[in-house]
Amino acid sequence: MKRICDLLQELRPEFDYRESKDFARDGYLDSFDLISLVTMLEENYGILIDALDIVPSSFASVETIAEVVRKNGGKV
Amino acid sequence: MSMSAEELLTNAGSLRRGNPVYMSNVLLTKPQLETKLSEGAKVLQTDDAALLFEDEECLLRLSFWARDEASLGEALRRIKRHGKAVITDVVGRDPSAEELADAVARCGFALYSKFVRMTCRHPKIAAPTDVTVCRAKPGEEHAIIEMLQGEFDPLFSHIPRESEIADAVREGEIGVVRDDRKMAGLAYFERTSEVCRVLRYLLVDTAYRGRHYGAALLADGFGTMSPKTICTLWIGTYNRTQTLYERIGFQRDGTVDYIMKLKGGH
Repeated sequence: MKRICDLLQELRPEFDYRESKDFARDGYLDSFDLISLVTMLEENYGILIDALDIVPSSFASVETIAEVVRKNGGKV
Repeated sequence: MSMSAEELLTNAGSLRRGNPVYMSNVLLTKPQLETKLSEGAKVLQTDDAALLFEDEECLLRLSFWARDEASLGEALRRIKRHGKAVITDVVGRDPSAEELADAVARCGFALYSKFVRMTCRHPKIAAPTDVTVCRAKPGEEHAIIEMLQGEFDPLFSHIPRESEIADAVREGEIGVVRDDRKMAGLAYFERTSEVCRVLRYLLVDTAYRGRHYGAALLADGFGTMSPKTICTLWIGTYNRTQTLYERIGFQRDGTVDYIMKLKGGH
């Protein structure tokens, strides 16, 4: 989980992710950030995220992001 | 070609799996892709690539998924441009975005412009005391679009449709400065969430520059923000205003947009 938090912090350091229950809805991650975040997750976890898993609800929280990573073969 | 969003994404997934030279400039969710297809976006599918075109007034906006550079180049040769420019955006963080932009260039595109994203928490600027900023009024949508079209390059500016401007006017997101009852400048701050604002456009008519209207429009927009608000903007690397935003406190956040134009034909 810490690695995902670090990646989010690297991507948009201006946000305090503890204050949001839904990163996409709250505007912490826009569509441009999702492109970068998916690339970062794939590089960091050595996985390929299935395009059909890329829906806003998958990026709502650290937990849901971790679930996407696990589902696509990464160890969180 | 008629193709569902799911088929397109599934095909893209199979091009990508186990393929280190796979290329795509887009990450669309299934609902986003469905919306684009329902709005008339067209698909050109080959064995090793898929191109998605959105037909805008003076350009074709291209998204692509391809097995490799050769596959993309081959698919691009099949495009019917109908006299329009073909534009594709490569958005992301360097160095990966720059590497993809270079690869796209090897397929026949040229770099047309480069934008960087800047952000600032609760920006502030001193408001000139002698300039009044008002909300744009219903009925001014067309004048606003004409101003934007007169100032910004349509190949990369994503000029909003009239309905989008009407929504923004209704929400009070567009501030204007009037001079002798003429609209002399405007600022469009889009509210994208409770804590996020995007400065979509800031524009002062050339005839009215040097009167601090830009500063007044910024101060008005920033004045509506809370200490928690994050304000974002995109600015061309050629744009000298970048230093002004840096002085206010905006910083580049690492996300870039390479706007690539297909060579020839237009």
